[in-house]
Amino acid sequence: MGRSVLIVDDEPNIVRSLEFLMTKAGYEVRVARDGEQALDEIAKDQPDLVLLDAMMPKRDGFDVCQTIRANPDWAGIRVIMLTAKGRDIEREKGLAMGADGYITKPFSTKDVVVQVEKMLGPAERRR
Amino acid sequence: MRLKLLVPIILGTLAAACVLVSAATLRSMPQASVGEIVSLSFAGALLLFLAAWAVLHIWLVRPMEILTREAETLALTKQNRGLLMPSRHALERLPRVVEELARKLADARTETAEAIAEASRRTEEQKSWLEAILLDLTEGIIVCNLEHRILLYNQSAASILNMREAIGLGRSLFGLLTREPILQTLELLQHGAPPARKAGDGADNTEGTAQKETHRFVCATVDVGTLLETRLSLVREQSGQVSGYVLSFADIGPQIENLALRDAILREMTVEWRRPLANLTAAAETLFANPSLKETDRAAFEEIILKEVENLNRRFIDGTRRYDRLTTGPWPMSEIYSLDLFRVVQKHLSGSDDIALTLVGVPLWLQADSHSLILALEYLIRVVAKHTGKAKFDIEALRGERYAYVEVTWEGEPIPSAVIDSWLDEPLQGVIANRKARQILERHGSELWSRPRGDGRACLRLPLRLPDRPSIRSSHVHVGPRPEYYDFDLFKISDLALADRPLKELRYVVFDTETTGIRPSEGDELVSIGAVRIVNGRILTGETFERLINPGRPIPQSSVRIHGITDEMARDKPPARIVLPQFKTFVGDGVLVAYNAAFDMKFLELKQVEAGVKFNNPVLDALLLSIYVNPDEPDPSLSAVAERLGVEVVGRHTALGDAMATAAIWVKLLDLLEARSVRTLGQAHRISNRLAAERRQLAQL
Repeated sequence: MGRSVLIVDDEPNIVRSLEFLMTKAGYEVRVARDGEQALDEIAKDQPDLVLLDAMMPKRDGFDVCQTIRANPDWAGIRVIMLTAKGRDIEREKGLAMGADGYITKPFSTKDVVVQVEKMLGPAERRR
Repeated sequence: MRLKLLVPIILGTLAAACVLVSAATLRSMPQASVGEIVSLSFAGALLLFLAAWAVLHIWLVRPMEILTREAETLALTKQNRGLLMPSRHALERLPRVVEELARKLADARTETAEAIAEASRRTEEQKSWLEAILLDLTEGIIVCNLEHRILLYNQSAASILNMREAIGLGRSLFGLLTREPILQTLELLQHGAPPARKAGDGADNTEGTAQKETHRFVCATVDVGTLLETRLSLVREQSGQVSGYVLSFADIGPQIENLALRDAILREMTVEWRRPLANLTAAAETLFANPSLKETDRAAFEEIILKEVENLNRRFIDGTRRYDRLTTGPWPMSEIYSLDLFRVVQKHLSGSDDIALTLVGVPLWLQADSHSLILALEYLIRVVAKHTGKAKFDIEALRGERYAYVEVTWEGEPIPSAVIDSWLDEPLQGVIANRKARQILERHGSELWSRPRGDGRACLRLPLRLPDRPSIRSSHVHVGPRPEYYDFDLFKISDLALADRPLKELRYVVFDTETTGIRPSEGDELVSIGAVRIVNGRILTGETFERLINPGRPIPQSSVRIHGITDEMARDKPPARIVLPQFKTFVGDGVLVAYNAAFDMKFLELKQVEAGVKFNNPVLDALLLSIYVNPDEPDPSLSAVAERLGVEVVGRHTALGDAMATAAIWVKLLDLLEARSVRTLGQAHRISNRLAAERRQLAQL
C-alpha cells in the first residue's frame, strides 16, 4: 500500500507534471486547486504529505500551512512548500509557519522525489 | 611776531613817544602850543585805545582762542568732559552750547561703537551657525564669485572631490570641475527667459515674474573620475546684481553603479537568453510537429531540450540572486539603534492608545528606513491590540545569522496568516504617499509572520537585513583579570522563604561597577554603576540605571584606559554617598547579580554606611555559576563567556554595557542551570558557596 500525497497548486501545468511524477514514484496522489479545497481534502482523508504552493487564490500556502500546524489532529502530516516565492526571507517564513521542507521553483523533479522519499520513505514501486 | 603782541607794542611805543615829546616840549616852553595839545590828546587817545584793546583781549579774544582750542581738542581726542574756560568771558552761552555739541558727539560715538559690537557679535553667531550647518551637510558646498574663484567650501566638498591640493580659497573652480556645464548653467540662469505664467495663476502674480534662480545638472570632476549631481544657485546683492553663485553637489557614483548593475541583469535577460530560448523552441517544436521521428533523432532533440532548460534555469537563478543583493531604493536606509527606534514607538503608543510596550532584550544596531518602520510597527501593534484585545506588549530585537528580528510578543494566540495579509493592505496614515504596510515591508526586503512562543505567548516577527558593516565593536583592551574575592558571607539568605523560590520567578537587578582600581580596601573608589532589571526572564532594556560617580580622588591613568572615565568627566558628578541611595531605590528588593559579584559588592559594602543604605539583598554571581555550568571554561572573562553563549557585547568596559552583557548571559545561564536541575535560589547559593570555597583554595595554592 503506497503512501498518500496531496498536491496543492493552482497552475495546471505544474500539477500535471507533479501528479505524473508522484504517481510514477508509487505514491497515491490527490489534487487540490486552491487553499480551501486543500483543507477540505485533508479533513476528508488525511494525506501523509502535502506538496504545497504558496501563491494561490482564496487561501495562500502560508495560511494553509499555519492552519495545518494549528490542528493537533494533523500533526503527523508532512508539508513541503513547493513555490515560486524564492527569496531567503520567504523560505524562513515558510519554515516558521511549520513547513518541513521548502523547495523553490524552478526545481528539478529529481529533487522533489528525493525530498518526499526522505520524509515518507520510498513507496512500493508499481510494477 | 604775533599780531596781538605787535599791536599793543606799537601802540604802547607810540603813546610813550608822544608823552615824552609832550613832556619835553612843555618843560622847555611854558606856553603850550597847538602842536603840543594835539600830541597830548593823541597820546591820551592812544592810551585809551590801549586800555580798550586790553579789555577786548581779556574778555573776548582770549576766551575765543581757548574755546577754539578746547573744541578742537574735544573733537579730536574724543574726550567727554566740559570745556576748561576762564571764569570771566563775554562769550555768554557759546561755550556751553559747544559743550553740548561735544557731549552729543561723544554719545553718538559710543552708540556707534556699541552698534558695531552688536552687529559683529551677530555676524559671528551667524557665522558659527553657518559653519555648523556646512560641516553637517553630506552634500558638498562651494561658493564662488563671478570670476569663478572659490570663496567658501565645506568638508564634504573636499572629501567628495577628493582633490585636496586643488581645492582652496581663492583658487579657480575649474581646477576641480569641468567648465562647460557650469558656464552654460550660469548663462541660462542669468539670461534665460522667465518661466511662462500658468493659466489661472491669479494669486501668483509676484512670483510669476521672478526668474529661475536654481538649476540642476550633472557635471564631472576635472579628471572625469566622479559624476556629480549638482545644483547651482545665483547669489544676488541688495541691488539685485549677481555677485556669485553657490554649488551644491552629491556623488551619484554609487547610485549609478546600482543602476548599472540592475541594467546589466536586464540586459543579460534580453541578450543572453535568446540563444538558449531559440534552441529550446526549435527542439520542442520539432518534436511536437514530428510525432514519428526515428528513436535516435528523438533522443537527440530531447537531450537538447533538457540541456537548454538547465542552462536557462542556471542563468535565472544567478540573475535573481544578483537582483536580491541590490539593496538601495529611493529612500535611504540607515543604521539605527533598536533602543532608539523602540523608544519612539513606545512613546507614541502610550500617548495615543494606552498601549504599554516594554522594551526587553539586548539592544542591537538595525538597518532600516526608520521613519516608515516606526510607523509600520506602531500600526501593526495597534492592530494586533485591537484584534487580541491585549494592551501589554514586549518588543525586542534579536540577532540571527542572516537577519535581525524585531519581535513583538503578547500573551495569547498567534495571528493567522490570512489576517496579517489583510492588515498589510491597509494604507497607513502619516506615511509618505499613504503607503501600505506591505510596501514598507517590501522596501526593507522583509516579510511578516506570527507564531507561538511557548509559555502561552505569541509573537509577531519581522526580519530585517543586518547592517552591512559590523556594528561598532569596542576596542579590545587587554586587562588583567579582576581578582576574584571568595566571600562566603555573600551567599547567604536572610529570608529563608526566598530559598525555595524558583530562579525563573525572581526579579533580578544585574549590575556592574567601574572603579579607580582593583583594591577596594586600599583606597580605590567607585567611578560608575550601571544596572538593568530582569523580570520574568525578560531584560527590561527600557529601564536602566547608569550613573557616573565622583570618586573623591584622582583616577589613575591605567584605569582611565580601561573605562574611559577621566577626572574631568567625574568632576561634577555626585559622590558615592549620594548615588548609592539612588541605586538602592532602583534595586528595591531584587536579587543582585554581577559578574564576579564579590568584587562589586565589596565596593558597595565599603560605602554603604556612609551612604546610609544597606544592600542586604540576596546576591548571585554569574561568573561562579557559569563555571559551574561549564567547568572546563578556559577563559572565564566576561568577553569570553559572552562569546561562547552567543551574547553580543556593546560597550565593553562601561558599567551599563557590561551589566547588559551580564544580563544576557544570566538569562541564558538560567536555562543552562535548569537543565542541570538547579532551580531554586537556595540551590544556586549552595553551589556558589561550594565553588567559592574551591576557588579560594586554588588561589591560595
